[in-house]
Parts: sequence; structure tokens; C-alpha cells
Amino acid sequence: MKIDDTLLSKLEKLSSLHISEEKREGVIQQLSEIVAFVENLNELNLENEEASFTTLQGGTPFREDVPHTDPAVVKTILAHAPQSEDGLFVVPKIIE
Amino acid sequence: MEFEVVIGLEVHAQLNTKTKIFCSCPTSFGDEPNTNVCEVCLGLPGALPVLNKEAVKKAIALGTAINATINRKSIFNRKNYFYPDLPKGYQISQFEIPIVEAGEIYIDFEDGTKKRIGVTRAHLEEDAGKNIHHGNVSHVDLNRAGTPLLEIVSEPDMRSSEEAVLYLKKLHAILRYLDISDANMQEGSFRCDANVSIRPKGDTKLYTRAEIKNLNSFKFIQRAIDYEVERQSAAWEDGVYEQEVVQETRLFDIDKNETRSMRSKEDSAEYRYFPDPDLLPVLIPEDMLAECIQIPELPDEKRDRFVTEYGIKAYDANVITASVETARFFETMIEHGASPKNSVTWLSVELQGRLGNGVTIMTSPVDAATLALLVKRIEDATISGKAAKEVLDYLMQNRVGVDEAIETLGLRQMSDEGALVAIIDAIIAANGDKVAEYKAGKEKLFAFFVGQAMKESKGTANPSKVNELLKARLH
Repeated sequence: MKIDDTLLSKLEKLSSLHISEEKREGVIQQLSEIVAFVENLNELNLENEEASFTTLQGGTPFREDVPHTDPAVVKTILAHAPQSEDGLFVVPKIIE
Repeated sequence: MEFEVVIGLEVHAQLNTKTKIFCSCPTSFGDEPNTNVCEVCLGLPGALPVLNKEAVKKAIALGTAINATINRKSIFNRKNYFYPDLPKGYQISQFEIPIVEAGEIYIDFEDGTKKRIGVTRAHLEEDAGKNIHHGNVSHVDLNRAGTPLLEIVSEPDMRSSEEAVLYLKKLHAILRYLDISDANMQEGSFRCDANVSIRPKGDTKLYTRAEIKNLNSFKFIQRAIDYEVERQSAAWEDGVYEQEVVQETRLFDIDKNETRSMRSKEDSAEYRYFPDPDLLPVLIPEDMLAECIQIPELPDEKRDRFVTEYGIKAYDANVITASVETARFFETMIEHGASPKNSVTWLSVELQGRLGNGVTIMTSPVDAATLALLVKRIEDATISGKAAKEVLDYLMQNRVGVDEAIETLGLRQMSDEGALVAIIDAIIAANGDKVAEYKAGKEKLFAFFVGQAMKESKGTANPSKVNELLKARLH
């Protein structure tokens, strides 16, 4: 995979990070090295291998569908929220 | 140029479990804000999700109903994006391996033909909270955050807004028959996004699609799709297709009757999907699968059975089985002894015609047992069909029994031969000239005698009895 300035710009946007002009070359260099390192994996023959999503055995446990509430949690949370009003969290206006 | 319309639909159906998908908070609609929340659905650090068994069961039921593959092993992923209604900064969803894959739904056209619409996948995920825009700030209510959703994605198989609506109505009916979702569009438990594109007729490639959101009624869905098709076709004709039609999310404005750009769609890589390390794969045990594939009778099966078992017309059967509530109402009427044919008419024409203004089949003041009794009173000749309409009007307004209403309105049909003979004899005696004309061959006058008899009896005479007696007297 080729890491270039366009891809770096996309990564900046995705990670909400800004890479300054003088560091760009270095970051591209480092990212390329890391990707090249990971690409060693492509040498493995994975035919007939199922993709693994976890290294653990078994499945996720199921929970019975029985409701439970703890009003104390609500109180604590709202008390610690930066801003709240009538039980609602108040956040900066969302512009669409 | 002639265009072909290509429509694919994504439906988000809230599953009607008692608790959220990954925590024990109650699922609710209309509760005080932020009362049904906990560490898990608020996204507090260290809180761990535990999957609700019922949500999995309901997903399997849907998969079974649409003849799909149920993946015995499926994976939960994190879909990352930032928005205040998503406290964790990611939505737990399914990506590479959804629980349900490769299903189908058949839609029925009025002329009796069918069309197969492919269902690509149905996956489990959590709903987000609600943002309420309020002056210079936004308010966030997280009661809905974590409500289980089944996202059902169709193939781009629909070719008109009508087909899209038929698909949605069928899917809606299936969810209701399975009782896995309230599927209430107004309350947002059945939400639809439509992917719409056009292409020159005959072309097989897929062109740029616009995704329309905010579609909360079948009527709006149809209107929004029609508008979007018009917009894209016009752009093509005007030679500005490339500039005007881009892959984006558009919002349907109900008041202006148009779609408008909301934001350009982030391509799926930008959600940075990856398997959620907090959740192991979902493995469906054999016994659970065996239990969940036992599903109730579906709309199509019920319709076909009504046709063969009760001998009603396919069209009527379609109307009656379109909603599970109407189908149950009909079945209850049959159980109470009303004939299938009259039940169809009195349910789908007479009762439905008197509902509306917020009164539905579920809140109808006349229940199935009552309507069945009314039908039986026509069938045993206690009242005429015409009188029964008056009785039904009365029953819609007054909470009384059928027989009481008949007596109150004085509509009991006169079938007593003695009384009818007296009336008929009086009419014959008073209209000697007409009797003579009739006997001379003016047969049309027969209707006159029937009319007189009905009038004399104030409409309560049994018409077939009147016919029979008149025929005997006039010959």
C-alpha cells in the first residue's frame, strides 16, 4: 500500500489530527514502514482459513430480557454532566 | 430518454424486547428523559455490554420468515462516528457477518402477479439517543440509546415507488405477524431510508444513488421517491447529471414536498468498522435455533389458507391479511359463527368504512364478537342487510348489545307470515286496477307491490318472504 500526501490528508480527517507541514514527510515515511512490516503477513497462505475475529473461545453470553433500573445512576450522571436542564443533557448546538 | 428507476430500501425496526440490547434498562417510548439509562448505554468507561437473548431470537424469527440464511456465528462490530446522541463514540452493529443473510420477500400486485425482492441482510445493532434542537443549544435524551434494532437491507430490486411501498407494507406485516416489533412509523419503531438512482432503460449498471431519510409514512415514502426520480431524470435530460446527482444523504421535506441535500455520505471505510473486542461472536446453539424457527402463520400463508378454507376471493383475502389485527378480527368473527363471505363484507367494507379519525381496528367500539353477531342476525333473517347498517351506525356510538340495538331501533324484520299476509292482502285489495294490469302481463308492477309491502311494514318486512307471499297471491 502506498502512503502519499492524499492518503495522509484523509487519515488526518478521520483521526481529527493535524500534521504540520514540516512533519508530513517523516510521518509518511514512518507509516510506510509500519504498513510494509504488516504486509509480511501477506506471505502466509490463508486459503481455507476462516477469518478470526477473536482469539478467545466460545460465544458471547446471553442475558435474559428482564428490566432493571437504578435511579441513583441517573442522578449521579446528571449531577456530573457539564450542563443539564430538566433531565436533559445540554450540548453545543448541532449544525446539520 | 426513457429511464429505469432502481430502488433499494433500508428499514430500521425496533425490536419489542422489554430491555435494551446490551443492558437491562427498559425500552420505552415517551418516558421522562434520561430515566432509562445506566453505565452501559451511557458509555461510561469500563462498562461492558451483555447481549439480550430475546433480540437474537427475534432476529432469527425474521430470518426464518423471509427464507434467509441464519448465520449460526455472527460478529458485532464498532461503527465509529461522533454525534452527541451516541455516547460511546461508536455504535455497536454488525458488518462482515450479520445474523441474517440472503432472504426474500414477495410483493403482490393488484392483478394477482408477484415479484420477488431480495433481502441482502438483516443485522442487529443498537439505536442512538435523541437530539432535541433547542434554541442555541441541543438537548440529548438517551432513553432510546441501546434499544435493539434490526436493520433490514433489501437488494436494489424495486423499479417504482409503488413497488417500494408494497415491499415496505409486506415487511411491516411480517414484523407484526411475528410480533417482533411494534413497527409504528409515527413513533419511529419502523424507519425507512430509500436509496434511489436512475439509469437509461436497458442499461444494467448501477448509477449514483441518493439516500433519502426522514420517511415516516408510506405516503411520504412514495412522494419522496417520485420527487427524487423526477429530480435525477431532469438533471440527466439537462446534461447536468454529473454535477447535480452525487452520492449523498437527502432529507425529505414534508411541507415543501421535495428532497434536499443533508450532507455528503461518508464512505463506509470512514466508519472504521472493526470487531468489538467487548463482545465475543454470537453463537446460536442448536436448541435455540430449533425453538426460534417455529414461527406463527405469515401473511401470505394466511391469505392462501383463507382462500382455500373459506372460499373468499384472493383480493379480499389480501385486504384482510394485510394487517395482523384485521386478520385476527376476521378469524374471531368466523369463530363466533358468522359466515366467511359476510364477514369479509362487514369487516372490510362496513366496519372499516366507519373507522378513521384515529379510531383503528384495535380501538374499534364494535369488536369482532359483536360484528359477528350482527352478521348472524342478518343470516338468521332477524334484520335485513339495510337495517344492519343502521344498527352498526348505532353500535359505533352506543355501547349496547346487538339485540338491544335492534329492538331500540325497531328494526326487527317481520317474518311472521300472518302479519305479512294481512299487509299484502290489504295492498291487493286497495290496488285492484294494478292487480288486473299485472295479471294482464305487466310484470314490472311486481316491484310496485313489493315496495308497498316494505313501506307498510316500515321497512321491516323480510323481502324474500314478501316476494314469496306476493307470488302466491297474485297467481
